[in-house]
Amino acid sequence: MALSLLLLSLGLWWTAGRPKVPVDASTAAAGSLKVMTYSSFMNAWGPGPEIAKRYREKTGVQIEFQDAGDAGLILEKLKLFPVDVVIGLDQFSLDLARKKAEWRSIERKTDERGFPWNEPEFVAYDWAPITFVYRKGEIEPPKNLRDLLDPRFAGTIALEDPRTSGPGLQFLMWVLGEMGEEKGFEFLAQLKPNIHSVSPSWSTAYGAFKDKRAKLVLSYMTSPIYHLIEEKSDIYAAAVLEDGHQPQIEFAGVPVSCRNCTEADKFVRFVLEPETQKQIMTKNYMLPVESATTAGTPFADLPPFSTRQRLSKDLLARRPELFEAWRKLGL
Amino acid sequence: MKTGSGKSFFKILIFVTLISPLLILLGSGVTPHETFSPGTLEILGFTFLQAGLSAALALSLGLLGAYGLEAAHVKWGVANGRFLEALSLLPNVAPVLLFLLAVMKFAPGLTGLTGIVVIHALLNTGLVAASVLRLFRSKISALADLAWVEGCSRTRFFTRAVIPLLAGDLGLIFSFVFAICFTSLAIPLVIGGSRATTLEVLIWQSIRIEGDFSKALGIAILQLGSILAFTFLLRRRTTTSQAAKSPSSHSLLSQFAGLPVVLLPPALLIISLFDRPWSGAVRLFDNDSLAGELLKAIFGSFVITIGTGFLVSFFMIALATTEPRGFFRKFLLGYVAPSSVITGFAMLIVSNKTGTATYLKICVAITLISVPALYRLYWDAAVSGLRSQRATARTLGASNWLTFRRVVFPQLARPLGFVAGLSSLWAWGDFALSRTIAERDMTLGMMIQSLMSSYRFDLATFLVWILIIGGAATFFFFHFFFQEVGRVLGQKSSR
Repeated sequence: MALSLLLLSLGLWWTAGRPKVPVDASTAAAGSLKVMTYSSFMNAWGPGPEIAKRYREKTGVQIEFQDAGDAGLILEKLKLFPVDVVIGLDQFSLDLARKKAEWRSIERKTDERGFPWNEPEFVAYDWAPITFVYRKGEIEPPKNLRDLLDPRFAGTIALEDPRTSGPGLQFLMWVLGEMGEEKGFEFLAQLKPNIHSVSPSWSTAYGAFKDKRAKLVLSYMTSPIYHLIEEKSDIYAAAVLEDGHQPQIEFAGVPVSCRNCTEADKFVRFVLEPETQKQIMTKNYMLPVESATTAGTPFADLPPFSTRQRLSKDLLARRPELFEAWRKLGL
Repeated sequence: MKTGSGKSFFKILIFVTLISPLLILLGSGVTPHETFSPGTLEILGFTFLQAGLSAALALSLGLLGAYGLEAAHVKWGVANGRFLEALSLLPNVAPVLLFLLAVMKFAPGLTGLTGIVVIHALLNTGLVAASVLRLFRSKISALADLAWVEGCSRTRFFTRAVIPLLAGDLGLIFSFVFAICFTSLAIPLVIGGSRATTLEVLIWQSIRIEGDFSKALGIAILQLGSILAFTFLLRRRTTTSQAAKSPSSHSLLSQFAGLPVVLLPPALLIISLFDRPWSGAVRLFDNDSLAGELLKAIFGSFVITIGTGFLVSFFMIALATTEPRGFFRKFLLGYVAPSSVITGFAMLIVSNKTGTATYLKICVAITLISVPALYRLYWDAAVSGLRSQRATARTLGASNWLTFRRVVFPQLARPLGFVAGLSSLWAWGDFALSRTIAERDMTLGMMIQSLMSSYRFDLATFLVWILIIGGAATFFFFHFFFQEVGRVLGQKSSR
């Protein structure tokens, strides 16, 4: 009996599940749109459900979210689960995205062209400068990157590993972009005594900071606003650095393999509408690409800061080498 | 039950099923590369070092912990002893990162190789202690009774009986912990710093940052080959089981000094969990949609953990019927499932169906990852210990089926409950594998990870309590379910 049951289940597993037709036919129906994104966008506490509800009310089209899993898996999953829209690509994944899939060029209205980081196939929908977050009164914040070497930060900085974390990679690119490769790695080596931990993810590093084990954490300029709104706590602040901040930008794109392409284009434009931008801002705690959306919210009260321009293509292409150099630092 | 050729066919089927994630990736056109590059081989060396030291320390602490747990059983009764045993397994069910944060809270200076080794050891101490305790009961407690009557001291019994007689079994436990540490991801990254790169980190990096499945597959093959070779070299003969005994009243296998060792890791975790849990509860129940998501996640976790527990027990029974020997047994003792991303992605290649199919895929994937570990940890000793009884039954004319039903299964029922319960605990704590497969947050583990990645640490902390309670519920469900099944079959067979 055990043998027959095992054979039966294995048989079912191997045969019943094998996809011969890669796309659910219902996807192609005009009444639905498949959107691949990350979990915190589509969860109850993320902006996804409200955006989907408003879009359905406006157009009658049902949004079906598909969890992309890990950022690095989005492009692989795209081959197995063809969708109409992808939300959540960052600057680092755009080149890979172009390499692994074909994307539709997205038409924009003139007033949507203002955001400096837009690409022909990808539309930026939110962003936030990377910086260091601290508790007011606990430590004097750094004024620039070099200031991080000051002994007052000894053992206090929680960083993220660039090999496994988006903000961690942003920091590495920020340092190398600002100081050049040789001096940048020298700076990182000198930073070692001041580092509390190098975590594999933003959440681990931020957890160490929240537990008061670290006094300074690599995060977003907008992080303190989460604590202000959700926890009614104003003890957190973000450092403004003179160097100019590296921006973390999130993009949406429409793959050529889309089944409901016209609707997909419309949905991407819908994501840029002021009301949707406001929903993304208040749920994702990131800045909208339409700056007017922040008016009357704590996001408008952020201190003045400058941002760095585009990432160096050369640095991006040499990531494996840079990771090896990072590994050898032994941070 | 089966003829020789039928058994061989069955073995091949199990072999193919276990390595199916690698076969699926190879079959889908992914070509492995960078398997033997100098950088990879250097990292292989470090991976071996940290895994070896971690396993040695975990085994030492776990051995001491087993003495402590036995002392608790003797002094405070079976129920309390079992409670403490379950408590000692707590670090294995909670998400690894939470345990890490808990340890780092109390020992912030733990870094580098020392930190990796200590945290790996603390994480696995309870599991090793529970496994050794079972070895005590099933293999040497009768001898301990005799030695006690003869006036043997505890130290002498340890050096002359425990170590020599259990060397093979302890070697299996060592290789089990070694494999866990060899494929560990989060701990080397958080504690070791950037220099402490392991093969698992390289695999993760290849997929996540570079989107290079070919490189990931090449490294995964190196990882599997290394660990297979290592465990082949390490393999020792195990001793035969006796009828399991209750704890003895003497002290040859019990020592209270071992109890703090085994209870320290769960204590660290629990103390850290008391940090802000109720503010999370208040915020959760203030929000209807969050509470709704929580109910769905709890339901999903129960479906997946119960499904995984039964699938694992089904697999284990299937393995027991094949009576693994020779190459097949060596393979089972040495095989380590590929990393969770590779296994999960293989499931997606097999089927992109969603909904109910997703639950099934997650159960199958967790089963494929759990079975090799559980076989090495516990099942091999349980199955091979019955070899002589099987031979005797056959000599007396019993058919394979009758022998299995009346002799083998009643005695395997209790270990089956343990392995099924353990796999369900792992399923509760999993999020990495589930997230690769699922189209949305379907389990509590996934929900906790999502909350943590969007600032909501207090909510996540509260949910870990629910996860622990759920884990305990399914663990004991399997324990009592299979105990009852074994009892019923045992009664029938004695009539």
